Amino acid sequence: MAAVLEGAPPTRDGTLLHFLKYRGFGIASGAVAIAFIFFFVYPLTRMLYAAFFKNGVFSTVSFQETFADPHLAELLRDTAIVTGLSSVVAMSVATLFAWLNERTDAAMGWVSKLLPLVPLMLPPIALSTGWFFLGHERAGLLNIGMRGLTGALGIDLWAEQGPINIASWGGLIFVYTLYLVPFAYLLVAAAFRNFDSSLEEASRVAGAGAWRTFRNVSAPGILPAIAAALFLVGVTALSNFSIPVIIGTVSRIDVLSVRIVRMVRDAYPPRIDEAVVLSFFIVIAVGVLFWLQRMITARRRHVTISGKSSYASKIPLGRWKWVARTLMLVYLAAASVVPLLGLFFVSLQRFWSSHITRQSFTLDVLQALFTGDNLTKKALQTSVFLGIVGATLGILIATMLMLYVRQRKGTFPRLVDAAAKAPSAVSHTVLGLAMVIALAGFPFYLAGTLTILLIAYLVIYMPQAAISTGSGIDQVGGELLEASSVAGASQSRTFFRITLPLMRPALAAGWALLFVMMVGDLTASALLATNANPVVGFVIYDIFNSATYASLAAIACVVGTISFAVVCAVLAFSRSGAGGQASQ
Amino acid sequence: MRAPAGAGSSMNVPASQVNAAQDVTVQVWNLKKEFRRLGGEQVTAVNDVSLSISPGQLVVLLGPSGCGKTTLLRCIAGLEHPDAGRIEINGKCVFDSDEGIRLAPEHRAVSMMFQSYALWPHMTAYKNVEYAVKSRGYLKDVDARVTRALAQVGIPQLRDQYPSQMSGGQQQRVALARSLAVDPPVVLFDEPLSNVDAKVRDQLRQELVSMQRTIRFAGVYVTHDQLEAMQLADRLAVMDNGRIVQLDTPIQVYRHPVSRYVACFVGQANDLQATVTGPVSGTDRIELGTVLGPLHAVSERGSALPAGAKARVIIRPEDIKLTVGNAPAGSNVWRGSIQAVMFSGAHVEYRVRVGSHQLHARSDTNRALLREGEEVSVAFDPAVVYVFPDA
Repeated sequence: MAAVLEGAPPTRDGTLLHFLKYRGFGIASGAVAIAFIFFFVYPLTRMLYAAFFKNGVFSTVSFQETFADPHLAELLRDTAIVTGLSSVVAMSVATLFAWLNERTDAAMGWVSKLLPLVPLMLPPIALSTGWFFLGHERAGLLNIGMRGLTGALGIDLWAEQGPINIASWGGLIFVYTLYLVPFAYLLVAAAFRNFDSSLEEASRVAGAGAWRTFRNVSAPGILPAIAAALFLVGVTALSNFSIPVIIGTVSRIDVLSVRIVRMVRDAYPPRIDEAVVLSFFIVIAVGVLFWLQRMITARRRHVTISGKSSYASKIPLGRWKWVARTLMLVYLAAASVVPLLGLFFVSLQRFWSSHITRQSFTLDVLQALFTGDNLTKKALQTSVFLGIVGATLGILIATMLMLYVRQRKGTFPRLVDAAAKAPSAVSHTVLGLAMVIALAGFPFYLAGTLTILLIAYLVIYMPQAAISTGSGIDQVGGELLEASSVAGASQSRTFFRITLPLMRPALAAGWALLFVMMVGDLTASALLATNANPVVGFVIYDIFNSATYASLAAIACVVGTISFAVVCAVLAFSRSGAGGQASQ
Repeated sequence: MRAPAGAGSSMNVPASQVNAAQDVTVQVWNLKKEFRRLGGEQVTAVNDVSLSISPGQLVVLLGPSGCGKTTLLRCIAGLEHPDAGRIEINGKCVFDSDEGIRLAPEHRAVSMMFQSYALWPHMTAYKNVEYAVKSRGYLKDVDARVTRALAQVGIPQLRDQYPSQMSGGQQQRVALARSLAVDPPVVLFDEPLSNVDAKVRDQLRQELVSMQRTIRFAGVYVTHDQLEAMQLADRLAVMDNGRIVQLDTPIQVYRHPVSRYVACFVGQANDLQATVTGPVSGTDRIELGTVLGPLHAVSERGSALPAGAKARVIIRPEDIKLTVGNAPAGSNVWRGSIQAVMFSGAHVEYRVRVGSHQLHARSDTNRALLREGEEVSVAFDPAVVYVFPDA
């Protein structure tokens, strides 16, 4: 110890051990960063090349073929309508909910905490299949229930079908909206929370009413968050495959993400060239959204206010309070418990039909998932395995990258930071397709392996991992680490005793997020998996195409339950003990 | 409180003994630190600063925000890397730009208190202190040392509380215990009291002084609060634009400021533009032309200024005497009227209009208040007038 205080080596000391101790982490992080950037940039470059070059010669054949398709305009129009309308509706709902929870007496603390977690608890594939079973015109559980009710009352309006039809424009947009609201809510609610409410109080005291205050003070204040939310929601809507593949297919509404996957998966020979050209439309749409966000935020300078914890007086809503609360509770139920119950119900029947009798209930379908040597069982095992490995690796890589980015200045760390978040601006469909083109054949030959799936998952979900760990690192704060150094602790002691424990809640949340998204992934899985290495997403896609609905319900139900259990367990773990103290 | 075998040398022996042979604990030579702002603008936060601190001495760095005081402190701690200069702590070089020496904070014999307290939120008060003690290599009697430190700062009952369960003042006491538990030869304070309320601040300040007298550590204390600075400092370093512009005892700094900047920053001041008229014959005074009219000052204060030179005249509010009715005619006496009265408890502050100008005066007699609008005579001794060249 005398050595530590007295003869501690200055940094220019050149022994190997010392070098590794001080530089090892930096070198490892740098290498990981380079590998990550490679696996993000290389596939996209290969895809770009493949679009313009045939056998090494420049060619626009694939563009001509795509534009010659008479249904192209319809495809683009429908995609724009579905994603555009559902984004706008989701933004409005989310802003309303955020305002209700942050500014009015309708606020319910647990709703505010739970809302952003909904897509975690129920993967989109479970949400869309759940609503498919609930809202089917003839055999939908809600319809059967309502028809039973109205029939008993002597109303005979809907004898065989209706009143709800999920396989419609309205139904499709409804499910999209259910899925998108939490993404927007997360950002807008945070903006309301961070926006100094004394500015609003100043407006009220100056004589402006509630609406005038909202329009002139609150709304401009949270505008950057709204712009960011619009971008996030738009990209998420464009990327989503689980909802249109189920509900869009039955309602014959075609969207880009589904068409691209079908061209690669279901066409023979695969029409990869055209798929690439179609994916350019997604890239363009994301570019437009990005530009829109910049336009909104650049219009005026926004002051970031780091206020004290404010004691904002809540706006009393009177009897509207209960209307607002009911609305939020209905949303929560519709986005989580209700579809999950629908899945359970259907999975307990041998065949899905509109005639439900006591005899039709059976555990056979659920049991079949876990017995014998079948594809579904294998897919579940592979997916859970990939989820655990992928989430752990993803969080580890993200932590290394974000520590590297935070502790260094210069161009390369900034580049790494941008690269780690960039995949969120590229649609999953596009990235999955690029992985097929770049990694399946020469020189990697990873087609059908678990490795290609793992790489795809890691690249696609790196932004979420980076944001979770990054916010964790920011929470730890500079001075807490400096205090440890000044107290005499070494770098590694500081990392293990201070940094890591304080980051635990963020790391755990990030891990759960990644696990759930990887297990529930459909896009990359449908494109990259094969019968040799099936994953849940791949099997779900096949089962849906072969219309064995009870099995579909069963597997979606199992995935939903696993996600739900993992999220709850991890959140409980991260809020217990000392970590819980830290997060207060 | 014997140190464990092999544990750090200087940390465990009382600071006063270690330094018996030397006369400085912290020595800074020609330190320089530059920043590049986001826009690309180069800012010199610390500009060629040299400073030495003796054992048991508390030096306060005082200045407005952005003057470089915190950067200087962080350079000593090892949290910032200066661009040039040399720093020795306890006779050991911890930074030297020419020799390429740059010791990490954990290898420097310092403790530090942060403005944000920087208590580790996942550890109890006891664990916070224990962590610091163990990090400095103490392996034996850790419990006794931690318990003593918590008792020393008056919070033995909080040992199992988490920081989130304590008030700001309590948190800062834990931070103090954490810094002092290792008997550090040097303690660095980065505005530690600016986040606690006035009453607690007063109390903690007094305890800090008495603890510093008992433990006899050398301290560097950063603050922008001039009252705090004067109460705490053995020596006061006033900083401006990355430089130490005056370094002396608080009394000397207050009574003999070297510049208009120091005079205005330390204490309150009436600051007037003036032009030197010349010496007043037969006296040791010079005369200056001001908005108040001709004004006399003791000539040594403005001796360097030739007739016609632009100058600034500074008069402290407490040096201005206000009397009702006619005062004896003479130099530095004017007629004025009270514009505003601010009763402040122990003293009273007045705004007095003299001609077209307002002066700030302060009286310690709070019984016989002057009233607004009252006619008074305004006077001050030429000996209390500071004269500085106008930059």
